[in-house]
Amino acid sequence: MSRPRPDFAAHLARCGLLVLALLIMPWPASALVVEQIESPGGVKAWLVEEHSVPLVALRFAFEGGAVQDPPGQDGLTSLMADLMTEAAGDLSSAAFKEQLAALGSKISISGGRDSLYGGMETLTARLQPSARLLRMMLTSPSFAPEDIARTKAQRISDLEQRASNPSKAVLDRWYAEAFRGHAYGRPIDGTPATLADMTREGLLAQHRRLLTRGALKVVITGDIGKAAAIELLDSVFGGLPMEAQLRPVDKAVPRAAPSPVVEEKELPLATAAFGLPSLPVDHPDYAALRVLNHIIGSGDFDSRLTEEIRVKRGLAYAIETALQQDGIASFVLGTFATKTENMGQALAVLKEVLATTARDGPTPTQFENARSYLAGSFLLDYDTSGKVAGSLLGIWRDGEGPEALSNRVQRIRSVRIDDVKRVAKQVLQTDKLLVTVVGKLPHR
Amino acid sequence: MRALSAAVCGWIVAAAGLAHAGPVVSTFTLGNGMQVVVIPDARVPVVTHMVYYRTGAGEDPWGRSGVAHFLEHLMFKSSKTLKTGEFTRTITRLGGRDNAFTMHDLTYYFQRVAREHLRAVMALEAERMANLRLVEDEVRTERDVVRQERRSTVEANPLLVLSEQMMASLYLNHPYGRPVIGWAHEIEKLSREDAAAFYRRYYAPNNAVLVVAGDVDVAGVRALAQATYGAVKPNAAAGRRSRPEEPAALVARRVTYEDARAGPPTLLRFYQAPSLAAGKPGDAEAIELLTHILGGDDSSRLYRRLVATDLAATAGASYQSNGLDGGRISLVLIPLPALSLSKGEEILDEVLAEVRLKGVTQHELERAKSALEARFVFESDNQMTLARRYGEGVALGRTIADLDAHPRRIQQVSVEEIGRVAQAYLSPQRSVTGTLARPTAVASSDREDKKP
Repeated sequence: MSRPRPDFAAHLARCGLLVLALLIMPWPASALVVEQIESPGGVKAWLVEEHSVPLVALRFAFEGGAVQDPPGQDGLTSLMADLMTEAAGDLSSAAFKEQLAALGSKISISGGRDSLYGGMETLTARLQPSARLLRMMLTSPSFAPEDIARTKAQRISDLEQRASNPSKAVLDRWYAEAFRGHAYGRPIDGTPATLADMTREGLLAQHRRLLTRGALKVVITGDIGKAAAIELLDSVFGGLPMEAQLRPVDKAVPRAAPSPVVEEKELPLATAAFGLPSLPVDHPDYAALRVLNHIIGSGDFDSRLTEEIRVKRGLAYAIETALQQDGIASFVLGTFATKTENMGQALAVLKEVLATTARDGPTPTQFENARSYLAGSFLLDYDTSGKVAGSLLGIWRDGEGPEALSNRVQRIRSVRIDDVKRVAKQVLQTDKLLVTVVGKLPHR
Repeated sequence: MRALSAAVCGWIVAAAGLAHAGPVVSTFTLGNGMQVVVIPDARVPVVTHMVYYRTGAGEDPWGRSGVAHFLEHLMFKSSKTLKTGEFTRTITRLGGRDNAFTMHDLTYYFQRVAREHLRAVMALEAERMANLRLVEDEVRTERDVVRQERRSTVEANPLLVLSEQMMASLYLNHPYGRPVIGWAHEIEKLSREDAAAFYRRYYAPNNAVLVVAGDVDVAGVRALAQATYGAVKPNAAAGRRSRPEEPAALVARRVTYEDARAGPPTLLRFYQAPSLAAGKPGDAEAIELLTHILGGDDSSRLYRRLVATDLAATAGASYQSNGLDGGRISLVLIPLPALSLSKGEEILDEVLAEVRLKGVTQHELERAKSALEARFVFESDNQMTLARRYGEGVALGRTIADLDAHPRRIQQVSVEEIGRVAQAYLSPQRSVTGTLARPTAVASSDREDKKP
């Protein structure tokens, strides 16, 4: 394929962060009417009715996540989430999985850095029994000792697999270095040592703390009417306690390092992650930052990093950046891989591109193209029920209402080149850069 | 272009048993032989536009593996009227996304744009079908990019190295044994002329299928297709493919790979199998259900026997049914530390032996049918997946009616047929088994030799 699949985006989504592409959607006039609903039990949701395909999709998020892991218990929330699709209510793990498999429905939950999120996809005709399983998973997971032991062992195997994958290991290392000393930098999935100490009591306590209606946001899309959706909310989430019990978490800023932090490994290829502090989503210049990010790191052939590193020099197959932001931290993060002997050159080109862009800003053509793309591409994220639900949940979690669908495109359209130049000077400061490398740096 | 009313474009709900049959898909052929498939989806004013070429890495000349994929990269460079990079730049400016994929049997290019830009992307795609320009300097840099792509995908991942070696072992004579991206030493020698020759031979309208999915109507697509692709000249030589056939499979094969970068010890097994396009009618549907029952979800036989019992972190099965000349059943096993790979393989073989001997139960079959029915509807929810379903199927020579009948055929499979395909296709001599583990002791200087 001429450009890589969006593995990087998938990884970031896994971290509970919103990938930039999902952040801007105007109101597609012809379709997509968002209704804000609330159940008698106090569960709030957004609903998009779309009856042309006989399925219902649901996405939900509980604020919280790995930053709420107790000290010394890194990975507790993520392990808890994994265990929730095992035994629940009066069903053993095998029975739960068998019922779900027979319905052909998909139910998931996973622990991200700052939230616990998940969803369901089911044929309309199988909504009731699927919703029953979702309710059991959320409200009465068993955390059976044998499930805990098995899931821990699988997790340790996964961690080993992950550590052996340079593109994942380099991001893990970047988070750990960038947010050292802050809960945000702790490993989401824990370590073999922290996993060993986790108990059923700890899991139950974490479940009680995080799974509350007060911390919940739900989006429902697809072949379902308003009355049925309201009923669904109470039948699935109504059994959860109301009050959220979250510890406050300080804002975090990624730290800089004058030279790359290297995790030495004997590999033919060196893989790098690089990041800089950026702006929060409610900043007035956030739309300009989006345009800037597209210009430097969209991964398109004429984005500045791809042009200099791949097209002109053939140093890497892909180099992309994404804007990361949630309630705790905001930063630009990118990755690439290159032959060990080329890493020095590639890093020098990277810094040069950032510095020149900070000094001169984009050309008028680059600016126009990026703005035009961002304003025009919004609908592309609205072509499946699950994507609609996920995108809307992202908007809500950013603290905005459904009207953001149109506002955000308006904001992009009103960005001027001088706004981008100003943001470039403010954000692309190479002395604030943190680079991590898995592999080796060439001898200097 | 005028949008049809929702009632006409809408989705048809079939009677009897099946929840849903998907959209009403149309097809027609242009005067120059280019087949066109139109898939109505009026939910959002977005279109997915794809061109499938009936060629891929299976047509790479001997000693020139990777040409089909290399050419796919070069298609994004320049043409008679498009300056270097202008293709993607134009699509980006329109707020669209584009990319391309090369497989053994097919190569496809796609763009997703707002409905009003359909004509523009059709004109661009038709231009590079007819008038690609290959500039020596750009070709050389792009070859470095592809070499780098191979390093950062296959060579960086020991599991991919293993499966590449297993494919080479599974296919003794058929080009499925050669990697789509090409062998490293052959990529390094690919020339401008290699790519140009491949382009001249295979990229022609009569060797392509156009797919448009979205809020469009057939008459509108026909007019646009005639105005753009209709002007491209056909190539009488383009349609012919002739590939060497596999000899009869006689021997179970084995690949053992040690790599210091490996994660947990892992076993993979591939079986040569029929596909939807190549095989007896009904076989592919039965194998799809068989692999689902064996290892398709968390209540499958492999999961119950190996994962639910704390023996393995992962155990599963999948089926690749879309090959022109055949398909593949794949098994994966990642044991937990307490279970050795060899003991894990014994248990895996017990599970397979039981299925081959006794078949599956009616209950398992019903569950699998229910799951596949739901999966088909989930896939129909996605415009891109729909476009691929019909584009790929038609490009491999299947009809729309045939593709639409797939969910019904799945529902008609019996336990006897599952037993028969298990017996026929899970036989050891059709298979290759691969293991990946770290070397027991490695001196760092040895490692260079172990890389592919």
